[in-house]
Amino acid sequence: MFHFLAQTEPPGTNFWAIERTGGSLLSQQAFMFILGAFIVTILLIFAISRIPSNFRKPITVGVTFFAGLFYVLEFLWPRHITAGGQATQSIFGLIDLQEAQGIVNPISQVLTGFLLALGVLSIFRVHFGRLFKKQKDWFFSLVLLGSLFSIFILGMISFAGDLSMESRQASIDAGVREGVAMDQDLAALARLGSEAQSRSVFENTKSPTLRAFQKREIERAEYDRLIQEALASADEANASNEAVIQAALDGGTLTAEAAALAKDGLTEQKARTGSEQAFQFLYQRGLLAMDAAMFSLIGFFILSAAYRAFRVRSIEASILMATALVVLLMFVPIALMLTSGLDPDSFAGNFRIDSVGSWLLSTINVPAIRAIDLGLGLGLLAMGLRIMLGLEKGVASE
Amino acid sequence: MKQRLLHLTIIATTALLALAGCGKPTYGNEQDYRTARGEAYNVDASKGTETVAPDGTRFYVWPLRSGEALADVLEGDGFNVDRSIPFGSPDEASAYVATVGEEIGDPAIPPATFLTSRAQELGADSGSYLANGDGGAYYLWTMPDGTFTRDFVTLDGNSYAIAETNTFAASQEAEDGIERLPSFEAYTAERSQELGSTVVWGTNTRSWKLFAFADGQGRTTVDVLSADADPQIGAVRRHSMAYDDLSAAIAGVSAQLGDESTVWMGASQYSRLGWGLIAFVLVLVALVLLNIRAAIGGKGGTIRRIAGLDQIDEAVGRATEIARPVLMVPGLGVLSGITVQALTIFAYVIRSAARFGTPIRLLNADASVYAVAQEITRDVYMSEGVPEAYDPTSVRFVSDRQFAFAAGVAGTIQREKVAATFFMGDFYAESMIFAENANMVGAIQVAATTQFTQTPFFIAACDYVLLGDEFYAASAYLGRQPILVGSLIGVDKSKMLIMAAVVVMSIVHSVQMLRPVDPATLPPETREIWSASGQKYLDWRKDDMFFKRLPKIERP
Repeated sequence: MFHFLAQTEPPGTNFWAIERTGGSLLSQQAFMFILGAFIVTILLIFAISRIPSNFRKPITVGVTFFAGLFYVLEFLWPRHITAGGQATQSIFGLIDLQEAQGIVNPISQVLTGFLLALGVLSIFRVHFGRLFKKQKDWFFSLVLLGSLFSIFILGMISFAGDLSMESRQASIDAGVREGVAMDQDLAALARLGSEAQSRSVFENTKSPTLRAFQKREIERAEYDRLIQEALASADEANASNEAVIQAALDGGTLTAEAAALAKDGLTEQKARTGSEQAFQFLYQRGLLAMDAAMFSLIGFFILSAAYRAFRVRSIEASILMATALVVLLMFVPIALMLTSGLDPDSFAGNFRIDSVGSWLLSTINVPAIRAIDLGLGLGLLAMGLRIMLGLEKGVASE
Repeated sequence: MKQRLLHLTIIATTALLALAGCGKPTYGNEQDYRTARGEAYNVDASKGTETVAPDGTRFYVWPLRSGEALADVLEGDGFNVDRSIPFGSPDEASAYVATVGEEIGDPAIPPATFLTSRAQELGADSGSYLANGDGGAYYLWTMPDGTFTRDFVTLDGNSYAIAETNTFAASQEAEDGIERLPSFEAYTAERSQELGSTVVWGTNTRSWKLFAFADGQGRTTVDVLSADADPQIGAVRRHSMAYDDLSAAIAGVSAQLGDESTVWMGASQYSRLGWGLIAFVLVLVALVLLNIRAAIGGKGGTIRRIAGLDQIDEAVGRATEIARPVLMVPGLGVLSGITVQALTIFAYVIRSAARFGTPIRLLNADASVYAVAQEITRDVYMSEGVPEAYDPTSVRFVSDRQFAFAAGVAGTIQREKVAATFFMGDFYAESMIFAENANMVGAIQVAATTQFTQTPFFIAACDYVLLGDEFYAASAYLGRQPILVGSLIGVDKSKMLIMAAVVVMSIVHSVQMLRPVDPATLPPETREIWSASGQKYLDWRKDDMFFKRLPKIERP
């Protein structure tokens, strides 16, 4: 069950692993599995919705109890350290809790997947409504819906591209094993891969060189020399790849090296398609940049909140202000200079700003945080108990 | 009275159980002892051999399947196990037992006073531990003339011996000359040299690292190392096995390890604290459940005023007056106890809003929370008798991406100029974006988060904040249902129990720390660590306890 040596582990017995070696991300078997899970879940939801509401509560409470019990048992059941790592004893030889985790954990993910559809419906309801009724700010709803659809469609195209690329790469691998003939199409793909490789050779040198030049660590002449060198090594890589391709063409069969280049070529080919570039543009230049913009706002908000919080209006605010000031000054070199004259090994050393700041953090702040954390933990324990035992009235049970 | 007696009995029984779990194992006779230890160590009961040390201490040495050994130290004449000492092999264990009780001379420099006495001897300004070296530790002294003196200190018996002293002009020079302790790479390099072999195979598991070294003749040595390098002594070799060739080594190792019955450490989660921790949690669970029962029986208590919760009605009333919506956000979390609690509070807010006909906005970042929130909102409007007032678009799913969600919520706050906001649940970096935007539009803000890193931000930016477990007290406070009030009282009693435990354990721990340690009494592994860093360890312990600079070292 638990194999100690990686080398002795039999090749993938889980069905995703088998399919991947077959050359495709998703096989017919996997699709059948997903379809089956989908149908079973729909049937379950339908069945639960048909049950009279007074029977529904015991079912909810029962399922919640057993779900909770699973994780409680999983924590408490003796876990042995064996030579191969950790192993739990199976319960009465029937259930191995550690192995069962792999099945139990994804259940909530599957349910969330179903509920995501409801979430998207909510977005449609709000924004299509606003758009069709031409309510205030309808234009923003249009932008939102446009972004939603474009990223969805481009994402799906990219996913389909991945599938087809993986299967073509697998067929190239199979070609090497079977010794297929090296033709001009494969050579063109390999040349594309070679171009991508030599570009990355150049980029790997260029980026650090440019950074060093911008930081004025190197002179212009040195920069030019390094860039020339990088170009030369990129050309060299290209030339040696070309030799590999030519050798395969001359030999007439697809070699492993040429196949590797051709596989890189497929990746490059996919990256050059318009849809992939549009997808990457929306994601990298759009989403990530906007995420960063929102995140950077926090700095300003902290400043404005701190200004309001630290206005000295009451004793509490004054203590807050004084404490914050000391901790702030602790990180400012010029403030540290103020008390740097106090000998750190003497009694007066206790009153250096850095000493007082560290003391505030370790002796005042940490216990307070631990107390809050402890209270939260106990609250959650009681809440968990109430939900698990069906004692919670309201949201969790009705 | 009867109820109280029951509480006390249950707590006392569970506490006794906990103590029993933490205690030393005791056996009536040799047969019981052998059977129980054999089971615990997963070896045959006859494998343990009794050995008596020169000072009369009785040991039982148990060879383990892994090739290691454990020596049980028995108290007096009976079969009470005082402690178990781990060894790399049975031979090591026997060698150790043979030395127990040997005379150790008076310490030349006891570790505890090394820093003070050496500083006086040298006339140094200050000095401190620098690094560990091979078989000892380096200390560096700053001299009054600005130079640095470096001592290499080894442990001789239970006293420090200064093996080497050097003087340097700069502290960096003193550091440069130190050979650092071996990492795993250094270990394999050094071991290869020692065995005249090269590393041919290695593997990691959660608990162990294995390295196989083969010499030119095909003989293979497999070293078993602890998975984590010790911060004090570097890589720790637990065991070494010799085989005729590499395939024999791999076969040997896999045969031994493939044996599913080989348990290297049974019930590992209980190995450190025994059953004490579980028993303690059971006491807490019992306290909560018993108090719920008592409260159902009509023995509820009063709950102190919580300002943030008193403000809910006022905030909703204000929103009604100025005809603007009330905004609720249950955080970024998935559907869990935390979000359920947030939604319970929101149900109360929605009920108030439904009564006054105030519009609401409940914005979600998680689809499952959204689905539940929508159901609750509809139910509340139905139960208040105004189903027609329920607007399906008032509960919205915005985005499950953190900053997209933040932008969506901030946009809603600004566009709709909300009158009151309730931020309750799991919040992260977006907390300030929400709170400051709400402040810009002049909304009354009530917040509560289980992420204590975000609590200070909410305190700085919001009008009312529920601190820590006040968040979980909210449903009991608002609804006053006996079950919730009882559970709250149970949590408070648990808190008192923990506070008492903290006080008692602090005293016990402090007394233990102050007790002088005689390295000769330590088990060999600990003694090895002690010899490398005994003084540093003692200093840390004292620094932890005292306002560290009060006792100033007097210069001679």
